Amino acid sequence: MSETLKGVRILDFSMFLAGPHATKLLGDMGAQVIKIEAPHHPDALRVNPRDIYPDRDPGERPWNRSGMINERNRSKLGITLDLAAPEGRDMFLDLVSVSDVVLENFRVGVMDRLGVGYDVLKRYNPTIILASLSSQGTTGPERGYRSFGNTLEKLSGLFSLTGYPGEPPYFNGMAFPDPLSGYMGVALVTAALRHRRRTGESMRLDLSQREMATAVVGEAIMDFTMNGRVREPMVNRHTAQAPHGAYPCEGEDRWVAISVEDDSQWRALCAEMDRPDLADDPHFADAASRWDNHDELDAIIAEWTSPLDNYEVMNRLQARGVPASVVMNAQDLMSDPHLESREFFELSDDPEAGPHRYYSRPWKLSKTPGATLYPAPLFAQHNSLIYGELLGIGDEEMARLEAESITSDIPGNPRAT
Amino acid sequence: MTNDVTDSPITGALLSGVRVLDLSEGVPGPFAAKLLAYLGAEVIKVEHPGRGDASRRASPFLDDLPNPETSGSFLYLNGGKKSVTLDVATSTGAHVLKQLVKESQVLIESYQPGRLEDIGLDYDTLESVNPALVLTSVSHFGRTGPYRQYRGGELVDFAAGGNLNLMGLPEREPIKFGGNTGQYLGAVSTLSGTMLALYSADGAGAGQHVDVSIQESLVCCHIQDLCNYAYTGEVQGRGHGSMIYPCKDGYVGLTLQQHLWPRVCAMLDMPELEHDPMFATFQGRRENADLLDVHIIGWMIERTKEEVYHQAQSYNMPTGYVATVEDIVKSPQHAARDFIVEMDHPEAGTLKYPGAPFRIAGVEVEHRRAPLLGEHNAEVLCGLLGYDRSELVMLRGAGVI
Repeated sequence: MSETLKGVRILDFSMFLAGPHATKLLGDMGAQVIKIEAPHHPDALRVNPRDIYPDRDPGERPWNRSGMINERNRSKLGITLDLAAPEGRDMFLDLVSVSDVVLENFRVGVMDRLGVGYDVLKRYNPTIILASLSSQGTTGPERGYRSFGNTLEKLSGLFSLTGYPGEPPYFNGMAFPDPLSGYMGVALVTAALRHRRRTGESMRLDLSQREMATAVVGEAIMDFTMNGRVREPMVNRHTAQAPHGAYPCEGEDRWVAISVEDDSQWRALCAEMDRPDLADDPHFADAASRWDNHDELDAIIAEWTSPLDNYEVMNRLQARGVPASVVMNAQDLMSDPHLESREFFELSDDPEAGPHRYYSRPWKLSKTPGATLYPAPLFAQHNSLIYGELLGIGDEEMARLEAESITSDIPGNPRAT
Repeated sequence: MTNDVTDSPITGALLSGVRVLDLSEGVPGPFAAKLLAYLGAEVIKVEHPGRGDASRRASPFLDDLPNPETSGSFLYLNGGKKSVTLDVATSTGAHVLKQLVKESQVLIESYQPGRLEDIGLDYDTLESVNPALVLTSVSHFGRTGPYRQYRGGELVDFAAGGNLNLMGLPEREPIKFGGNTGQYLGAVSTLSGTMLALYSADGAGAGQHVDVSIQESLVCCHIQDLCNYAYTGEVQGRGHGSMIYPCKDGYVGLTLQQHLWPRVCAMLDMPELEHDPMFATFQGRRENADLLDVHIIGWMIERTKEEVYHQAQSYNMPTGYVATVEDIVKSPQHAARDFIVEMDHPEAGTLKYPGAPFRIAGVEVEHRRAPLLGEHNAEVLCGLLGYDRSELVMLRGAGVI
C-alpha cells in the first residue's frame, strides 16, 4: 500500500503550533504540504524566544536554524508569497486551482480581507476544502479575538482545575490546546477528503480551538450542570482513588508518579514497600479511608521513594501491576528504552541546523505507517520548484517577483516574540 | 452556521454510511468514537453485560447518587451512540462480535495489550472476517516495546509523556492538569489515526491495525523542551513566574511580550510605563515584576475578569480569563455558537452538555443523548444481524448479552 494521502496537496498558511502540528502529521502521511509564509511575516517560531539554535548559535540565518520551527514543519515544502500584493494573490489562487485543501489559522476575517475568502477559493477550485483552525470559531461575538495556547488553557476551564489548592492558578506554558486542535484538524481534513472523494463536494471546516479545549473538561462541566458544583484544583489527587501523587526520588528534581486504582494494587504497593502492617491497617483499608488519610499516606510513600532511583520504583511497581511512571524529562524521553524500541524519535537532517531527533507520530498504522519524508523547509526553499512546476514561472520571472518582494528569500521583518 | 457566505448543503454527514464498533472504556476510545458520531458515523457501543463501560461507575453522578445510567462522565462521553451488551470473552459472544465486524468499517478497543489475542479476536482473525476493517487499539504505552504491559492512567501518562515535569513550581512537586486532559488528548489523537486509516481503507480496499499510544500522543505535544534538549543539551524543568493576575472576581492572564507591551501600557492608561527603564524590556519587567504587579493589579482589581478580557482583546492582545465551569456554561460566545446543548435523557432528565468543537458548513451536527445499557440489543441483533427475539432471550439467559 502506498502513502495514505498520496496525491493530496495542502496549502498551509498556519503558523505557531496548532496548524503546523496538523499539517506535519498530514505531511508525514504522504500529503504534499506547501507552507506559505509572507516575506514580511514569517512563521513567528523562526525566531524563537528561548534561543533554541544548534549549540545556541543562531548563525547567519537564524530563521533556518530554529529548533521550534524545525520540530513541527517536517515533511513540508516551503514557499514565500505576499498575498497583499495583487500579483501575489493571483499566484495564490492559481495554486488553489491545483490543490485540494487550504488550511489556515489566521485571525477570523483576514482571509476575506485579503480577497481569498471561501467563496473566492471556490470559484478557482469548485472542490476545494477550506479548514479554519481559529481561536474561537468563525462565528459569535468573540470570533475576532486572539489567543495563544495558554489563553485557551484559561478560557477552557483547564486552569480553574489545575494547581495547588488555595493558591492562585499557575501559568505553565504548556500550550496544550494547540496540539489538541492539531489532532482534531488532521481528523477533520481527512474526513473531508474522504467525503470529497465520494461526492466531489467542496467543504468549509470551522474548528474552534476554544471549544476543543473546553470539550476536554467535560466531566467537570457535567458536575456543574448536574449538581451545581464548581470544581477546584486538587493537585495530583484523584476524585475517588488513593494514593495518587508524585513522589520525590534520589537525585535533583527526580520524581515518580504513582496511582493506586483499587485495593489489590494498594496491597501490592504495601508488599513492594515491605510494609505488610499498612496493608492490614484499617486506616487505609479502602479507597475512602485512604482518601481521608491521603496526607499521611503521601508522607509514608515519599519516605520510601526518596532514597530510590525513580526508574527502579517504576519498574518494581509495574512488575506488581501498580501504575507508576518516572516523571520523565527531555533527556529521559530521548533515551527511554521503550520509546527507543518503538522507534518513536525520528532523525531529520535540516540543511542549516544539522541532524537531530524529533518526536514522530502518536500512532502506528500497520500498513501505511508514514514517515518524516523530508526536513523542515528553509525560508523560501521551494519557491523555484513550486512556482516553476505548478505555475510554470521561469527563472527570470522569479527574479522579478523577488525584486518586487512578492516572494523573498530573506524574511523582511521577523516579529520578535 | 450563520454566515454571510452561502454554502450549498453537503450530501449527508461526512461519515454517513460508516458503522463503528466501540468496545473501548473510559475516556480515550469512547470520546474518539463520540467524535466519529458527530461526523455522522453510526456508533454501536459494545458493553459488558451487567457491568457496562467503566465510566458508568465514574463521578460525577446526578445528585451525587451513584447510578450506572446517570454518570455525567458516561453521559458526556457516549452521546450519539447505540448500546448493545455482549460478553466477547465467551465463544458465542465472540461469534456475534465477528458478525458485527462483518457489517462495520471501524472497531475501537482499549483492552490491556494482549487481551484481544487472548480472547481470539486479534487483528488477523478480524481481518479474515472483514479485510477492510480498521481496528484501532488505544493503550497507555502502545502495543509493542518493553512497557507494553505497564499500567497507565491520567497521572502516570502525564509523567510518562514528560508533561508533568514541566508543570508546577520549581521548588514544589510537579502537578498535572485537572480532570482527564491527557486521556482526552489521547482520544483526539486516536480519532486522527483512525480517520487516516479509514481514508486509506476506502482507497485501497484494505483495512489495517492502528496502534495508538497515549504516552506518545502526549510526547508529541511538547512545544519546546525536546528540541531544546536535542539542540543545546539543556534539560528544562518547571519554570518560574506567573503571568496570572487577580481581578475583582477571579483571575486574568496577561502576556507581557515585547510587541504587546505598548498595548498593555495603553490599556492600563499608564503611557509613562512604556519607556520607563525599569519596565521597557522583557528582562526588566521580569526583574521588577513586584513593582509592575502593583500597577497591573491596582488596575485589575477594580474590574471583573470579563471586563478585563474584553478590554484587552479590544487592544488586540491575546488574553484570557481563568474561566470556571460556571463561566463556560454562561459564556455568550458559547451561546452564540450553540456550543452548550440541552438534551433529555430517560433517567438523568434534561441537562446541559458541551457539544461538538467543530462546524461544517452545510451540515447539521446532530446532538443525541447517551444510551442506556443494552438499550439497542434488539435493534442491532435482530435488525442488523437477523436474530429472532427468542434467540435474544437465550443469549440473555446464557449471560452473553
